Amino acid sequence: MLATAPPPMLPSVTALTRVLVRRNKVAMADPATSSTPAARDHLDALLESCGRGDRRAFGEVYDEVGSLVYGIALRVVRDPARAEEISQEAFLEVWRKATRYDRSRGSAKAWICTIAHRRAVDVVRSEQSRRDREAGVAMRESRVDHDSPEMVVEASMERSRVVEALAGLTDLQRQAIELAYYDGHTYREVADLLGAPLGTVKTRMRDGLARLASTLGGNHG
Amino acid sequence: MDDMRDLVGAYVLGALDPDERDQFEQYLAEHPEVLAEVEAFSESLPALVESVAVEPPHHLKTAVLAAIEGVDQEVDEPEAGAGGSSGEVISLDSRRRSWGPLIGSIAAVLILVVGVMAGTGLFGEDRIEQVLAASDARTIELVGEGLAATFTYSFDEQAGVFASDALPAVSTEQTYQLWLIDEVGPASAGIFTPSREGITSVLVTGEIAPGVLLGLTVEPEGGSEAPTGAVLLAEPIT
Repeated sequence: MLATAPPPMLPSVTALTRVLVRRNKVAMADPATSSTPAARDHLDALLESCGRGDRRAFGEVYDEVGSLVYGIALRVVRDPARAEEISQEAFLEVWRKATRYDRSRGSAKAWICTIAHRRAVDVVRSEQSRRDREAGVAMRESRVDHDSPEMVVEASMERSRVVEALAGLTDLQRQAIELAYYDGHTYREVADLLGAPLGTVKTRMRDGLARLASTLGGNHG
Repeated sequence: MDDMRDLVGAYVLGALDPDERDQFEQYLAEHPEVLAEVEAFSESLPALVESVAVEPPHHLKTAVLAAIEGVDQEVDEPEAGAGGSSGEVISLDSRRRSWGPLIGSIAAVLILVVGVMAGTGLFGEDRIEQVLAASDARTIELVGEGLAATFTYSFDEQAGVFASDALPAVSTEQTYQLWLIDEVGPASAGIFTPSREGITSVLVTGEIAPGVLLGLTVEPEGGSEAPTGAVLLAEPIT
């Protein structure tokens, strides 16, 4: 009977009180410090709470990363309605898989970004393969580097930090990363678009990421 | 196999097609040193995403929070044999199906509450009626393992009505107890036992304020000073 043997996963009141106190403290702290180690711990802990079925923690996770999930979906699919659909499904996936999140293997933010990006890319690829068949070579010119006005977002410290980090890459490294990550192309398509050998593109992606990791990683904390 | 290892960058950037992605993940499972590299590279992704962050429309949060109601989480176990299906998000249609009955039962509870008010009325039905009729009355849903309830409250009336038609019976040595929990701690908001049919409507008075949690526990007969049982239901007042 439920009354005599409560399920072990349920939170205690003490734990809930602690969450409330922490949430209020966080709300009072500077909300702009999203990249600090403390903020990382906070988001990681929230995602772990989600993994224990905590729906309130999930609402907080949404508040923290909603603009990231929606932003990357919008960047990849370039359509607000589709970006919303993708965001919703990505968050549902986050909720369902939160039980598997393991902070020793990476930050919650990276974990969530990967889920959102993968969903966006899957959508755009299934459409692109259809368009490819229809449009053939015509898309080659139209693909590279076109920012539509709605993509323009407020300048932020984070953004300039990334722009700077990207500027430290070679042209080929940067283009390979942008075409793959922001435009959702496979490395084969990237090689095709850049007129570079497959092996070169693979290497540039890896080298470029290694460089980004050291530049961006060094700035944390 | 160094060919595979060269795909690390493409994998992290999501630039593999699904077949290659599967192959690479298999390779990762056998090569922890490459996995470590994937994990390190992945930490750059949030920065790439921050630079294209866009505030989503407000209604998206409501949609997302509604979407997870009634959705089961995956059981945390090794991925062995999990295949593709367990990782799939269920379709919008099946989500609606799982959400639908809950809406139905909430509506049923509200009808029952009104019925109790109009009928025999065991719980101070005048006050209950006032709360339900208040112009600022709002309702939140509380959903736990195998139980669901609603809480309709009014800041103007400084009171709320906790209602459920689905609370399991407790032994005679036990009682349900409601709590209003703020950051100082929990305060009792009343004890009750459900009727034989499991129907409950309880008037709750106390600190009805945004951010305060309404919680439900089972306690020894007569109630407790502070909660001793696990929290069966909890939801913040908004």
